[in-house]
Amino acid sequence: MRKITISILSIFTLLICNSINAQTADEVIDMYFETIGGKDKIATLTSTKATCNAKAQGMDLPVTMISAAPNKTRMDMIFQGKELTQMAFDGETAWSINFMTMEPEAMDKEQSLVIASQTDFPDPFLTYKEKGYTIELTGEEDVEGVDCHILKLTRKPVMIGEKEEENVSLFFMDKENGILIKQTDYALTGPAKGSAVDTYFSDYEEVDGMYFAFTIVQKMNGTEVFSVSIEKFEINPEIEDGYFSLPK
Amino acid sequence: MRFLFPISFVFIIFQTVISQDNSIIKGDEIFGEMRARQIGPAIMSGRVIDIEVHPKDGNIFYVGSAGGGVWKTQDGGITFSPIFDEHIQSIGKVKLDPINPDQNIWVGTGEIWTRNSVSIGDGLYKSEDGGKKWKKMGFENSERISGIEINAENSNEIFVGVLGPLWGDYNERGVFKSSDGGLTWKNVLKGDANTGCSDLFMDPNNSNILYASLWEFRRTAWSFNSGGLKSALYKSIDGGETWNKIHNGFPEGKLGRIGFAQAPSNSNVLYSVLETENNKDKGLYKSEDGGESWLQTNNDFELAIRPFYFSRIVVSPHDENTIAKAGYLGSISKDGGNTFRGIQSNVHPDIHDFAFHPKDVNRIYLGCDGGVYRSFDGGNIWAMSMSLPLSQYYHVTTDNATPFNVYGGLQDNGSWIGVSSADGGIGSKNWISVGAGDGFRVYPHPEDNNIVYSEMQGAENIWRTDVKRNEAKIVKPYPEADDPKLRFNWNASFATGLHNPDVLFAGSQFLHRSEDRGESWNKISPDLTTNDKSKQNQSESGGLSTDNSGAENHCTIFTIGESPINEKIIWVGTDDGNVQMTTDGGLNWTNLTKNIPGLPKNTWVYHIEPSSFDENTAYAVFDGHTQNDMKAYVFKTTDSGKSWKNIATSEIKSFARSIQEDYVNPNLLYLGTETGLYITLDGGKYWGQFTNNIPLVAIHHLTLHERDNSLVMGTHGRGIIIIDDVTPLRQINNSVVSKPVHFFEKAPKIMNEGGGFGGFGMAGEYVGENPNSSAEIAYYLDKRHTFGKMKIEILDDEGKIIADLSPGKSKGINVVSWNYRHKMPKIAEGKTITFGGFNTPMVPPGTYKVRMTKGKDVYESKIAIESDPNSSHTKEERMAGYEAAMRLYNMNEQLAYIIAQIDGMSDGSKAIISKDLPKKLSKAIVEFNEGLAILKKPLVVMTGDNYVGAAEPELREKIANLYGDVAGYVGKPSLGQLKNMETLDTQLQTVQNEFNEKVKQLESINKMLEKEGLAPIKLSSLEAFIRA
Repeated sequence: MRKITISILSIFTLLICNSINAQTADEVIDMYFETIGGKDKIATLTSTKATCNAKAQGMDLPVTMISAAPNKTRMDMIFQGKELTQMAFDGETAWSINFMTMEPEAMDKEQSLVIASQTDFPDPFLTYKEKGYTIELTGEEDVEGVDCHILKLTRKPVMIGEKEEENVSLFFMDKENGILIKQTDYALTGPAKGSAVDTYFSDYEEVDGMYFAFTIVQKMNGTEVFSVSIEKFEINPEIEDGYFSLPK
Repeated sequence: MRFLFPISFVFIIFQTVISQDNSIIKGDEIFGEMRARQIGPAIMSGRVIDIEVHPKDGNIFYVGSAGGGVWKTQDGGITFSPIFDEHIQSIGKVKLDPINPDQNIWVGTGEIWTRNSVSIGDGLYKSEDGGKKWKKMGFENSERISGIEINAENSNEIFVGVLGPLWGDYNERGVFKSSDGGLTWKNVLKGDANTGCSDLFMDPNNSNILYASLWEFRRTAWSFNSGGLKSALYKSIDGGETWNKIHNGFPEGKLGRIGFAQAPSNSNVLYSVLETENNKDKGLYKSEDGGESWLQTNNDFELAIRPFYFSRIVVSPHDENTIAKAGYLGSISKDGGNTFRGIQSNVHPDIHDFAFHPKDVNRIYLGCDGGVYRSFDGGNIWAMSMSLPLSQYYHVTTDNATPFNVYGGLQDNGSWIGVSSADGGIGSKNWISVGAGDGFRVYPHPEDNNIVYSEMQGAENIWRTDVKRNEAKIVKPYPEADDPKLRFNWNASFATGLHNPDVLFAGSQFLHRSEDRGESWNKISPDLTTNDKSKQNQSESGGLSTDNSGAENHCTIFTIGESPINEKIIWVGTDDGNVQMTTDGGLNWTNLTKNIPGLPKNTWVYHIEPSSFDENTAYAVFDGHTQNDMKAYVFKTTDSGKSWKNIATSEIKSFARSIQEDYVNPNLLYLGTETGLYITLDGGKYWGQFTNNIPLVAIHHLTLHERDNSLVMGTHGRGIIIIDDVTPLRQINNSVVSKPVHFFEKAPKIMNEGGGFGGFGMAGEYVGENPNSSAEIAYYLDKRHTFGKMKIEILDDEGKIIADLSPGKSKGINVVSWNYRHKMPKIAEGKTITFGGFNTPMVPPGTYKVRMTKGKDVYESKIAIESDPNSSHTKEERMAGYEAAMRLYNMNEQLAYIIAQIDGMSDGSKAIISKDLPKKLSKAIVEFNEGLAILKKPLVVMTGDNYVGAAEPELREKIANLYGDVAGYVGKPSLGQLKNMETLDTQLQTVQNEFNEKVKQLESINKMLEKEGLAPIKLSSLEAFIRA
């Protein structure tokens, strides 16, 4: 812990000069990457595995979350020893386990399209231009008592029904050091369409020279709906073939 | 980091800083994560000003409300989301950019149907991202914006109609044009100090052609004027550069408010609704030549009535002859305005706007004083949207029921009682009507909640209702033989007594007192107002259209404040600016107005709050907005009104109406303003705005629930909003905020023993949020926790961790919930899920330790929970239930352990069996393994699914289900449950014995394995298994 504190302090000292001049979106992103371990280091990530405790609807449940480059992800919740995949995506098809039959089922096409457009490992800001994203510094806001820059990330629009829906997330980054405090996303499909979901990041810890948020809390309209606390975090773990794909 | 956690998961799972000076605690952020909750209601909804439909997708429309902001629906009006909560909530116009309607939304604030009770706006806003974020685009002081038009070929060319202030002179009125997307504006059609633009229209087929009506109007607290020689209808054919009157066919003389519309399908067909000097000239005019000439087609009641409130006409995009006119009931013509049929079908009266679906000719939306309605058959049958909580409260009170009820009256929507908590959330069914007309103040009898007093406008009626029998008696004061006419305000003052539960006060120009629940009344004062005769001509009010509704009644008593300490002390405030006080129960009165420094003459005394700490202390809130004065005036006296100090500061951004003193900390004050809630922690040196789930909505009145410490706000546009527990605010001081972490004292939580039914069938309906049923831990953090671990655990007497919580990390006050339950038991793994296993037993009442670990620092506090004193269960019964639940809890875990070990032994032996082993050993292992399978079979379901393919339950399912049944109830288990528990426990012990046998067999196998140099098959201990 002492080591972490010292390294955080030194990063802070380093970044004070940066923060004074941080005016463009790219400068904010540069500061962000510098704080979390450097752009080059983050780019070496090919996968991560987080073993977590999740809280949802009054229940404490073990959760495993694995993500891999460029856009694969899977989250399993463990109910009474059974790993039930809540969402998995292999780059093309999103799927989950039906709670009744406990069998995998593909999600509808629109959900897959949305997940495809928003799943991006290791970091959306990495080579964001090549990925066709645009970013814009849209203002400042106090988030939980932290003065933050607001970065707007616009991804490619998604066809929902007959309409292209704008695909935007807002990132709230500490003005002092660029660390991500909050992210706001907007549901593009389903009954919650248009609703904002706020994700708060905290308990950053250092793993192999990089900083990761070990607690992630999601709120809707100010009320917590889901949180995970990471118990174990693995960098570039081995992942079996087909792990992300809809089981045949 | 976010890439660990794609956002899509959630939709799948769940469809102060201490200032440098010596004593002031500043900063809105001190409120941290304290959060208010909104409970509606939406059953009656509230006034809607403007509806804007998406030009291509008629399921998407926007509702601009009088006091509740902007709401968007994407499903044709079933569900709505508020998209403007961070800004002023009174709306005049919503407009979508025709080129980019999904992204570019313009909102003109300040409602334009200029009744007495309107809220104010503060300019023009634009969103370029579909309503997520808004930018102010000028017109800060315009107060009311009536029109926004955007060039269909050039998003940068925008026209704005500024109606302007209602109560005062203002010269920046008329039509404004921007050619640079709203950065700069030019006044292209000028109004004058009291003439503004009331309607603005751009030809959808030719963006160079515009129409605008100017309207001369003014309101005071006691009068309204509509009409003058400046009111006129103009046309421009050169993109707003020049304008000409188009009055050929209109009557001569003064005109009032003019509503205008053009047929989208035929640019030559125009309609306008005129307010004129002669009644016969009022009504609908039609032009078929683009305004060259006009002919009057109709002056029916609905076409001519109350132009200031109803001057809107809308033409169907599908047919130039189908037009809808706002009105008392509203009406629709299908023959180009010659004849009209009234809207019927139980639609709430006072209709302000219509909108036609762009594709479906029969679908029409309307907005009225009661929200939004939709018709699917061209306007015959209408259904209300039940999800718009736009209710406009004037006043709010509570009772001492558990949970407490909320009472209040609303603009054009009567008086209501609602619960503050209900199974499944607070829906429409949880509200009871207790008054007709416009509702204002509603009081429960202080000791008998079955008796409720309510009123309608101008105290035309004051009712005493027996709620159970639904029987209402009118108990208003009547004039006595020598009395002049009694003058009651539109929002007439009355109140129940604080010292004698049967006492009622009512304020006309006199203060009336009843000791018998309104059966008889005595005047206990002379005329306490200025009795200015020039302000008592409401029967002549209205201008070209007389409008004597009672809304302009003036020189009346508006607020009555009985001292909670001394019943002889009564404070009275009048709408014409008098503060009066008696210290002898009404024998003698002193006018204290002259003692108030810096208060403009005749400023409306909106609320007087006598202190509950000291009988000489009181607070008075003055509202000058009807004199065009938007400043907050909050005065405090500590010497019975001899001297007053203004405790409003520059942080308060608008005029205020109501103040509440805290019952415990005299320096803690709550202020309801036109733009939300302000709180001071230091007696008024600094006011911070509380915005966490409270929009910038007008709070007309607020009250503090003494028993529950809940701040209850009556908002004029967003219903009732509650901060459930203000106790952390009472404890904030410099010592608290100088520490990194401070835990606040909390009253013991009364455990919610309910577990019944409710919440059925509220799809498509607004459901208000319930209070938190969990126990809460509140603490202060001096800064946000971002780096390093932070956790909060709950420990019992023995130091055992029984829960870990998701800590709040915000700077300021954090509130964390604990549902005072154990964690779920470990359940054996089977093929399927056993749902009983998701239950968790409530912990016994008592005091538990709270341990916060923050980085390397540990902080401790306590949390107390108590059983409900009104519980139907004795302590012994509750303990019997708990003990049975915990025995079953442990049985679940015991079985889970056995099954996990069986699986472990089975897996271990299967792994060895493939090796080249001596025959004897091999045989022993095969037999051992077979024995394990036989042992496991009746223990847990290994086939089927979680629904209709479920297998017959085995021991795991039986124990878990019984556990669920028992743990789900707080009292003693049934005898059947206890017997069943014994039966299952006996079975479990048999299984345990058989398992023990298997463990012995394993020991001998392990010895043989050792002999072969092979690793033994290991078991884990029960303790290790539970911990894992």
